[in-house]
Amino acid sequence: MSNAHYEPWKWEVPKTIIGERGHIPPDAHTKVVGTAEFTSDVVRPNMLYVKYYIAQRGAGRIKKLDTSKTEQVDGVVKVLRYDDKSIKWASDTLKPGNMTTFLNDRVYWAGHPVGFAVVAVSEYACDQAIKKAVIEWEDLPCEVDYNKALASKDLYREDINPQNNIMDKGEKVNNAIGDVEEGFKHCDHIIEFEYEIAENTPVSAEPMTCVCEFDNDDNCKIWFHGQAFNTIEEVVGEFVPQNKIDMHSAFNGGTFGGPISHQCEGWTAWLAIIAAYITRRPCKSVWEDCQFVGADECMGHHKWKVGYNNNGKIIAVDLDTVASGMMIGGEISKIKASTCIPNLRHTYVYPLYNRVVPGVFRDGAVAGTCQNMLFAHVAAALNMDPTEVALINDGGDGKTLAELEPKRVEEGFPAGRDSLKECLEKGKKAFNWSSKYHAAGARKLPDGRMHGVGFTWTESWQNWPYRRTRCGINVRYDGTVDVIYRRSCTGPLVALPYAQVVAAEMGMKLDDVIYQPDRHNVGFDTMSEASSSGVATNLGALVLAARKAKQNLLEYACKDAVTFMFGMEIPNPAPFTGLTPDKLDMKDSVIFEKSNPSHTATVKQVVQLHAGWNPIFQHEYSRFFTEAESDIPNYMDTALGRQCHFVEVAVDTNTGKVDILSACLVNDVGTAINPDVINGQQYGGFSMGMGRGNAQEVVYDPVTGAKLNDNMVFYPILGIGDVGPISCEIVETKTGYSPYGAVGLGECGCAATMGLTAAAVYNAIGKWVDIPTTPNNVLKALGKA
Amino acid sequence: MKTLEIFEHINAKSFEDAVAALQKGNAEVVAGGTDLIGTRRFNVLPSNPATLINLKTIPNADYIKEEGGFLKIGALAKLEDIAENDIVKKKYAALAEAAHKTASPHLREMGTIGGNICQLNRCWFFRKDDNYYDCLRKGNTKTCFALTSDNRYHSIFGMEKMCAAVNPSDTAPALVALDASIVTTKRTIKAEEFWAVAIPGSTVLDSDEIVKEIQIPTPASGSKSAFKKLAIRESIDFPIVNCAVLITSSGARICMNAVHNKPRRATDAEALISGKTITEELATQAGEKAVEKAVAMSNNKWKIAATAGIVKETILAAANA
Amino acid sequence: MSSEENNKKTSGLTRREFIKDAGIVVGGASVASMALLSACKGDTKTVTQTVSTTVNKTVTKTVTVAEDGVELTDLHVILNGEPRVCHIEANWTLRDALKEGMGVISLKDMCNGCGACGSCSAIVNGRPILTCMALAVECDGAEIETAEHLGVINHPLVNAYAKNFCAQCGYCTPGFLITAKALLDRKPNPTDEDIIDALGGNICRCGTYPQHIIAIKEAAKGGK
Repeated sequence: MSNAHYEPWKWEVPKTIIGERGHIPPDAHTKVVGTAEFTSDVVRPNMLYVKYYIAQRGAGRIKKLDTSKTEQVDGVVKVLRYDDKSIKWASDTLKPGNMTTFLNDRVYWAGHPVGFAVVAVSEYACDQAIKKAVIEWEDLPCEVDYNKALASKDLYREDINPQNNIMDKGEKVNNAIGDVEEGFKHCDHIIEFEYEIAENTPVSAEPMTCVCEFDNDDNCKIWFHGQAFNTIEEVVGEFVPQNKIDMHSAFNGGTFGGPISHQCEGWTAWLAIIAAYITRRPCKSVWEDCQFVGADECMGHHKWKVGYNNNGKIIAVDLDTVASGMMIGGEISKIKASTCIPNLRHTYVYPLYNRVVPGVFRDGAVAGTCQNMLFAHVAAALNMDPTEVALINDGGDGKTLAELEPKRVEEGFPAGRDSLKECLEKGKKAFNWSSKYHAAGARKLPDGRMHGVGFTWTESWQNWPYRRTRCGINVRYDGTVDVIYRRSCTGPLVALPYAQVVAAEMGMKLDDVIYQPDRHNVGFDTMSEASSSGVATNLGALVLAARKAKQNLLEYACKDAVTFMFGMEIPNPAPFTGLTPDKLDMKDSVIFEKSNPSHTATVKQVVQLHAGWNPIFQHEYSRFFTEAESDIPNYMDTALGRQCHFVEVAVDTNTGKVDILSACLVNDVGTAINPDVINGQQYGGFSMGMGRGNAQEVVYDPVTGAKLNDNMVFYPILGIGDVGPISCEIVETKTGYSPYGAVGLGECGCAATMGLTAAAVYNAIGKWVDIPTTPNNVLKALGKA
Repeated sequence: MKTLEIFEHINAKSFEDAVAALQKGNAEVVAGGTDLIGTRRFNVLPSNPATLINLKTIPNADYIKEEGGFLKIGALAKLEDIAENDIVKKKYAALAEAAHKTASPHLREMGTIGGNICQLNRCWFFRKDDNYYDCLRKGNTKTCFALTSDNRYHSIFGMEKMCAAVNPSDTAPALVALDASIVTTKRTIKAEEFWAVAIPGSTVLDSDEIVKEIQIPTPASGSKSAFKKLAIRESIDFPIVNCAVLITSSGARICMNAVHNKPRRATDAEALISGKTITEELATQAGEKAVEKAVAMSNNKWKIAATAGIVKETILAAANA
Repeated sequence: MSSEENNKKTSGLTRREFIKDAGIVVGGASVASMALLSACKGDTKTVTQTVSTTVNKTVTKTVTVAEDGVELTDLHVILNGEPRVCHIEANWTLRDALKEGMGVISLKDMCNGCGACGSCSAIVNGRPILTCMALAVECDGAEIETAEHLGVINHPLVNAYAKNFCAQCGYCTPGFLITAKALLDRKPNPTDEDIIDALGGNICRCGTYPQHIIAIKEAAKGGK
């Protein structure tokens, strides 16, 4: 932490453009009518297709791989075998995470690329060729039940741990504060409860694909589908010098973090790169089933012991988990970050077995769900309104809000804002909580179903700039502006809010500013803007670059130009000649003199003055290119921003079906840059959260380890009729450490809401249900199964 | 996207045409194609017939009309057209509702009633790509993988011919409840007798036999029918369990599906409610009666309760129609 | 004639050898490259097929054989109001034909072709269908409308969708758009229930669903 003067939360929020609704995202029309080119649409001349052979079994080793008939299939150009030493199967940059190399002879989980890949003239030829391979398998022990894996002497992931089936070789303690044993001695009540959360899988919108080509001079073009463009540049750089790489980002179907978390985007790219390098033809790698590769951090068994007082204050929390979590922060990280609970402990055992080591899609779901379950259980045990229990325990790192605030005020944050209180006020009103909340099992609907409401709350966690980022601002010859970033499109609509920030800071019309979608051959590296902390991390670079660009324009607006023509110097006075930049300002793409606002010049005039006006020569406007780097604040304390969410359900006790009647999402975003986009993350994420909490689980065959529902017929992604009306509320307490006190929320709608139906179902029927709250789990809880 | 194997393709000009093509062997018919295309794309079966006989080119095979005391539906009638047809909605409500709840709007615009009642089962072992589970329904083995694995959605009424897969059709139980007959190129079969455990098929059809028409006797005026379906999602999903009920002045017909290899009449439940005023209590009892003979597999006991629930709710819906 | 027989017939070489030796590279199935292939190969066969629309019609089709052994035929459609033709392979879906042969990229694939996402939707002979589940050989003569067309004619749905944030990543959106158009063609003033019903087969991973209801109703009012 270096810069004590870097306090972007103190930066003044521009009075226009920031916070406005009703702007249209720059690519909206082309996306809507389907002319937007996605990576899977990219077609190159003489392109070949590459597909992996995918193992369906959960474990095994290839004893013998006969690809002789594979090679003979019409249209096959090359068969890439794992044991072909001339092929570079191991990357120096891209650590496979779940595999030692990209392709070898060993299967560790169902859905694994193994053995070989086929390069052919069409997908048909690939499919035909793959079928012709004859594989002799060595059956190896396979286990998809984590309890059995922990108890077993067989090894399932000897590549990760050659000694036993425990990750990190032992039980671990995570996130402890205080002394839970002591805490349990000094509280009014103790409850113990446990539940199971099933595995979810990312199901990105677009099957994973990558297009790569090398020409005969080693120049490379690559269309990468994923988040980690900077990494992929290094990856291609293992084949050719990086200055020969022309990186492209087409549009990408939403990935939500899954493919980067499980490295599938990297493996898909690697396949295209290898094939293209060998064949010297454009190669498109296609990995259809990739959508079902990947598990989330939430699955597993959670066992709680909680001590609390009659007034709702939670004194001690001891959580033991098997299988779940181990991603960023861990299960009780958000409980720790957002409450004053003084004694916390989380112990875990992470098993190794024949499932993918979980990653994240919409990071934070396990922590959000844990907080949800903790508070729902305590509130239920006390028969107390859970929103009240939340307020009583609000805080951070064991301290109360009152204890935390002085430091924050010292740091320059607004005093006297209580984010949770404000969120609750807005949310309870919008949701009509007072008429909907009731004791568990107390309300039956006219149609016989049981009515229930669920509530959860947690911190707004995307409030830190994780790292320094840079961006460039280009002012074009006609005075329009584009923002130079290394785009990594994974779906969210950042182009619009980022352009708003630049336009507002510069004093440009929003229509004159665009966040340029496909500029990769530049070093401006940002946190993948569509990733977890995009807003929090990237805003600093945007604001600083915009301010610099403005200052640059104002300087040139005062600077006379000299035009050279036919050996003569022709003076060209500046519109504000004789003035200094501090006397000027900008509004709506027009520069004006502050004390004489009718004295104006357009940005276009200033650029063209200095860029040359002779039509024979190039317009030289590069002096209007500026760039800036953000910093990391000196202090990044506990997040004080909050989010809280409400759901209303009807439980059919005959069939176990849980219908989601309505919902309300409330997020404190610090400062809202674009409320339409924020709402999009709220209701959009909620659909995913409800899918994960109320519908989806990956089902394995315990015998073979194969996945039984790895397709969109049997793995139910929710549709338009599956969730009732959703209201979205925005709170702005300027609580983040980013510019304007802004906080990101890309994960929150999904990650924080996963456990909501479990809480709501309890409120409906007075029984706790495992997650997802599917009919079988509900009926089991009702004792009917 | 995974690709289809090459096939020969014939456009049938008539049912006779199609039968003749079937009789040449190594051929199968295609109607809407929404089951067949997926079955081929994912290599569900060990092999596929080389020739596809397109039935959609047979003229006048998609009618929906009342005639001579029957509702007559051509086998090539689209599910969406059946669902939206005013006569069907009014007098054969269970069928309209069942057709409407089938699959998704696009699939209903492509899928036919003939195809829907002939569709293959949706057991996730049977359906796993590349014939990964070469089960008894594929014809090479005697194995049922559901017996020793996750069978949460499988049969709760035992295993006919050692198969635990359920029939996934939504229209099937409605046809049984409405006492339909299936007219083929060879014979007329009572709906109740139409389904079977075949390899890999789900019907009693011979290899050269094609469904031509569905006939439903027009229920007496005052009759009421309804259809209900339990699924995770509102749309797209196959049923976990569904049920169709017809209540007439003389009795009731209750048919469940997705609970057994074939649609299953709940005759004991029918007897219980026949001619009686339907109360919630009676409907509950009928639901329980309908599953009295159910036998759980290792992890589908919950489905027995869910079935009782759906039967109950369908009876109430029909009574209040 | 089987593809093996075709292999042997081609100048005494197998097709792949022929192509390698001749230095011909063929990717995709563009008309130009197929023409080149058939010109070099000179090995075509003619079959008579009945056109598969509502009218019984006999059309003579020339079938050529592609590099991967699959037979090609040709497909005539009216695409977005224009008569179009392209070579297709016999096992292609309508989506393959429209994408590979006619440059339509609005037909996406989210579910890997199991009919469960609606991203490949187009209106064919007045019905919204899944083009990945329709065989190209069965669509000869069909009238087809894709999402791109709505942009060309500036249908009110386009602006309504754009301004109401119906597209986040945008991958599923054309499928929704053309399905919404099919709805408005039949029900110019749909209720919320009508909309929820009609879009039941379209999956959006980003969860934009609430916005489609708003946009469609707005478009129904003429975009006001």
